[in-house]
Amino acid sequence: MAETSDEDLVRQCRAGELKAFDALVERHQKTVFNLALRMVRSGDDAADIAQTVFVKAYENLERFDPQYKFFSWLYRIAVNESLNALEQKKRFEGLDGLDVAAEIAEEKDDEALRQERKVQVGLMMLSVDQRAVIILKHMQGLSYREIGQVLDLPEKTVKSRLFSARQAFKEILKRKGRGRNDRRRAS
Amino acid sequence: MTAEELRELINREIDGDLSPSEQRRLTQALRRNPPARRLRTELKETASALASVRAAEPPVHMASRIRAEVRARAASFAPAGTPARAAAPGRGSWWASISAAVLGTSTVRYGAVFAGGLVAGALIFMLAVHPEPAPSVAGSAATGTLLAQSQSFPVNVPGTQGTVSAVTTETGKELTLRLNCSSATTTRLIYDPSRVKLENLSELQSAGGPVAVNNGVVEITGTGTQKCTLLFSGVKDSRLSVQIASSAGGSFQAEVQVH
Repeated sequence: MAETSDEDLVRQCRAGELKAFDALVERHQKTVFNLALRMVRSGDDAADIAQTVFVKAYENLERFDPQYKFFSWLYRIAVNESLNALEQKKRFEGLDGLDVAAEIAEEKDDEALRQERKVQVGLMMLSVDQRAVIILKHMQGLSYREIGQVLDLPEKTVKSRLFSARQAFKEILKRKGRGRNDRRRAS
Repeated sequence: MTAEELRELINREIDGDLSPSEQRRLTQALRRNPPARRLRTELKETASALASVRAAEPPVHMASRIRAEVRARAASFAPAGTPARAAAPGRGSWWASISAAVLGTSTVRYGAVFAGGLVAGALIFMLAVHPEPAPSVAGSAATGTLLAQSQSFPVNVPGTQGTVSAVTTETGKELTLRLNCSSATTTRLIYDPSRVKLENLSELQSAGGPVAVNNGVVEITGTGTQKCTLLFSGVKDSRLSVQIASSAGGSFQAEVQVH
């Protein structure tokens, strides 16, 4: 039996069917959580963001334009909420020390974890605009057009931002790779 | 082909966006351009590093927390246009309208609830023109001014009673909320983030629910005694306007002046 589409579930929600919204939560919670996680890096914050995203989506369901995909709209809320959370966090604690903490952790774990940490730290070193396009493209697998819908940008801008972001990320990974090799030689 | 065109083709190749003819052009251009080949290899490695990150599993109880929160919201207000729940006038629908009116641009946030119909619209208008709907602010003036360095106001709205007090500290103006919230009530303190900046929020006592901050809204969802302190900076002329509203209906407007 075919799975009920997001659009049908949204229609049911609008008719007052809460269980339809549960199904949307079930279907999208992991991607929303991961999007937030890659944006803000903290699992606790990402879970809070995901909760806010779904609550806001529910409260604003009437504003959702069915000509777009539901997940694009959801991701848009998720990106905005992540940016809000980062803004709050920056005010309270700043992001200094992030790199060092991850580098210390790197020495202890296996190669896959090390690589993931390297990528995550690298992401946090990008600007939030660059980070968002990279995550949406490489971790969420969205097309240029879908990214444009999420970030409210023309496709052309999405491409140029993505290309610069990838270039910047490449340089960060290169620098981090060099840094680690230098430390290994020194020890 | 210019270097810029080449860079674009390499990037689009990584994204799987090239047509067969563009792919042929790229292959030809790369043959005679070692630096471009190197760039392509490095960008492919970058993409592969990003793709290697595994999706994390959300916390086990996240979905159930979301469902519970959505049900709590649904109980107090419904998405606009939802026939079954629109039959709860005077509860969350107009409380959310107050938030939207106070926050201005944040109609995006709570705006869906805004469409509670003409009746709600008329109510908002009345609230805007006459901000003292007597029944909702029992026992205190709708607007007050804290003149002393440390003074407190009573807050008495349906579902939420307590005090709000203000002091000047070295780093800014500090508001302390001491509220007793009944069950199934969401209490929100609303301020204008374009005028003042919330520097810190400390939950000194919270029974049953978290205090969340989001772009001009401090939301208290717990029941029982709630106590938290908010530190604001950027307060001009020693004036800080805040509004406390309850999902059970009613709002308390305070313009706090701290010397």
